[in-house]
Amino acid sequence: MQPILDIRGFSKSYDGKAMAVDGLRLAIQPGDIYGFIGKNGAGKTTTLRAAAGILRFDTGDMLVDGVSVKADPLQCKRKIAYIPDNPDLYEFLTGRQYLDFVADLFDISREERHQRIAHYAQALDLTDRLGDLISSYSHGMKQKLAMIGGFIHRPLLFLMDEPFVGLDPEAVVRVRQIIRDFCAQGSAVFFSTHVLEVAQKLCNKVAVIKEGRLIAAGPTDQVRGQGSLEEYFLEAMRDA
Amino acid sequence: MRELRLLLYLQRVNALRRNEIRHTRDSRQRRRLIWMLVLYIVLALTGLAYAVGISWGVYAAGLAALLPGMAVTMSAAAALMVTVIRAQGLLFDAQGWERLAALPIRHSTVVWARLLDLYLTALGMSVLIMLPAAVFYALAQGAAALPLWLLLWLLAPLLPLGLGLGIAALLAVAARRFRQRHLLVALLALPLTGWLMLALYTSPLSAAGGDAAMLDMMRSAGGAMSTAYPPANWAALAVQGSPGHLLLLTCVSLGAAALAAAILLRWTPGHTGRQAAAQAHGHAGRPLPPLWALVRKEWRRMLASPLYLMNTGMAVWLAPVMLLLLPLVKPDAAALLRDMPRVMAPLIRFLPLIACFFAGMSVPSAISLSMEGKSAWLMCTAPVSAGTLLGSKALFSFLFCLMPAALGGGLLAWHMQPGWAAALACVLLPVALCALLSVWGLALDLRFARYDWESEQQIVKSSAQTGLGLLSGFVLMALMGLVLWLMPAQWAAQTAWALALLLALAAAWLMRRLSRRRVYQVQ
Repeated sequence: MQPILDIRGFSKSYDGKAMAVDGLRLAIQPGDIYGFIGKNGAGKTTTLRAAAGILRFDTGDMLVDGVSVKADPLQCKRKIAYIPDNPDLYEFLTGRQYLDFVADLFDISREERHQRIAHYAQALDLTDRLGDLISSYSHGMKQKLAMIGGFIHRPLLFLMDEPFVGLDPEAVVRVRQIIRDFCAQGSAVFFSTHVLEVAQKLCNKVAVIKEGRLIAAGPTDQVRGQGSLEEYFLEAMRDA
Repeated sequence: MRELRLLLYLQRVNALRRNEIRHTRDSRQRRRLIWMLVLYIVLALTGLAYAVGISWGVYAAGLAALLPGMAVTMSAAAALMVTVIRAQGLLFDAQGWERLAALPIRHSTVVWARLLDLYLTALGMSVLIMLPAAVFYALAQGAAALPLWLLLWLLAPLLPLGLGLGIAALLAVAARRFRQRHLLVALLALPLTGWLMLALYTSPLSAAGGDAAMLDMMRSAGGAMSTAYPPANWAALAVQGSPGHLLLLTCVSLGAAALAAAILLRWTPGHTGRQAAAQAHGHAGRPLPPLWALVRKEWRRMLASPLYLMNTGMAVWLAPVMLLLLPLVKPDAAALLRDMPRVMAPLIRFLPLIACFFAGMSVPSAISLSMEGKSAWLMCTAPVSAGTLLGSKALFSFLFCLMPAALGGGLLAWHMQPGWAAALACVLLPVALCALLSVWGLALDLRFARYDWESEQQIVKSSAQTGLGLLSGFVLMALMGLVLWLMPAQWAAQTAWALALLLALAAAWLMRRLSRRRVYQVQ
């Protein structure tokens, strides 16, 4: 089966000396909810941002549904939804205007966008605030809006950087369910998290990165072995 | 007092990005900031050179007695403009207040700190005008009056500061009631600025007519300034040794500033609080193709940012506004000029270039990429080609400038009646210049793009691309002036057409090249 995201020897250095990520190889299959864990500065965000087309890189390649991010970024972006850890959105727009803008970029018809926006806004309890300026939103509300912006174009691949930070418990449950629904229909999710409990419960696969190098990857049960993911992670950070 | 000192330090510490230059570890960024600082110094020196030129001209004409009045009026005009523009961001910015709201600082201290900041800025601009005037006055009349000049320098910005604060407050109150309040601020500020500039530049035109009027220009300018702005007359008499006028000038200046400060001390915090609360409105838009969705987003961004709007989009609108106001401010100005053959001949020859003057100062695209700021990830992950993305920014910049540029050129031709060929050139050349500058500005921003700013001020006011965009406009106009000067006068209009075609072709070629680039938030 062709991976939805195929990371092939990806390396990135910001200053030309120290490697932020070094020779990363990873394949994310359709239906995968893939957790990406590591300490601060390990290279998680760099990897996600490079896959999303935000970061330029020279070494290695990343293929989204068989298409190289370097060779045809546009084709890849049509299939991706990227949700950053800090959702800096256009604060001068209202929530509704922002979602309309995203829908315009992805060429979503009027009926579909209304239907999807209504559905996800209701699910994440944001309907009443869509007419407000984003500058008046809390961090959690911005995070919800960024997610709705990702959901409405039905992407094949979700790239999420700490997606649950700032969300209220009800929204976390709803987002998890929406993610599962997408993956059941053949999409995949690749997300970074520091909450290992969430990763253990939600992810069918995890990858562990330390100082830019991958130290473990595979089905969650295999990676954690007999103990919890937290125990494995703490041990791996000491040993590797 | 300690709080005031600390707040002032906070507001001034990074003026001209000095603090960033000192402390950044990024050598590329440091080089960029140093170049920008050099650019500011060049601009200040250019202003100083103008002031030296004018003061020397007045001194050489034997009219040194006019210098105090002229210097005070020009300082006042500069202080008024800078106060009206800066007060919007400094005094009436809700976010700025919210940052300080949680700190144990009294509101009155914050207001005083910001008023002092405005006063210091006005003093800084004023010194460029006052210093050469004082030196040439001393050369003509002796150095005894120099202490009085020092007093004039300190007093001159106070009355315009008070007036400027009043105007800025009225603009802020009026704007709060409208959804597109920044557009309203611009619409209200434009005629005011246009009127000020017209009053300044057309006052020397004497009704005497003919070339002889040129010889009376300086004398009549001094008289007109004293009539239009009485404190200028008081200043002139004070320097000549009238203690009564000195007292009058001091009392009026201090009184106006104190009154404005007292009103603001009671009113500003409440107003900004209400402004923050009034920001939640919105409505849904209709579906658009990606290019136009991006253009609409650019439009909304500009309307949402007073700094962006006032600093990059206003200048081009000044030309049509001033030309529309001209019949009201000086109804016979065009007729008087037409009666001066020695002025009219070169004026008609360079008329298409004059039509470009304000268009050359407006390059919204020069910061349109950087304005994405921390939300640049949206631009980088959008499923649109670089051509569409960059094209939308260039297109918005061009569309924003198109109408005022064409209207300004058309109105200038209507006033000056240069014949149909030159009239057409007056419309075509500024429009073509806008097209090229829109694309060139984007190229500059691609080269210097910076997304990690904390305040729009860093990009709008202090970025290399803002200064370079402005400089590019001036350089292009200088080159076109040279071409028009080298060509025979009777072909001036046709030369301007050819220049317009050249600029349009250059814009198309550059846009094609830019479309092949990719946009990343981090390289």
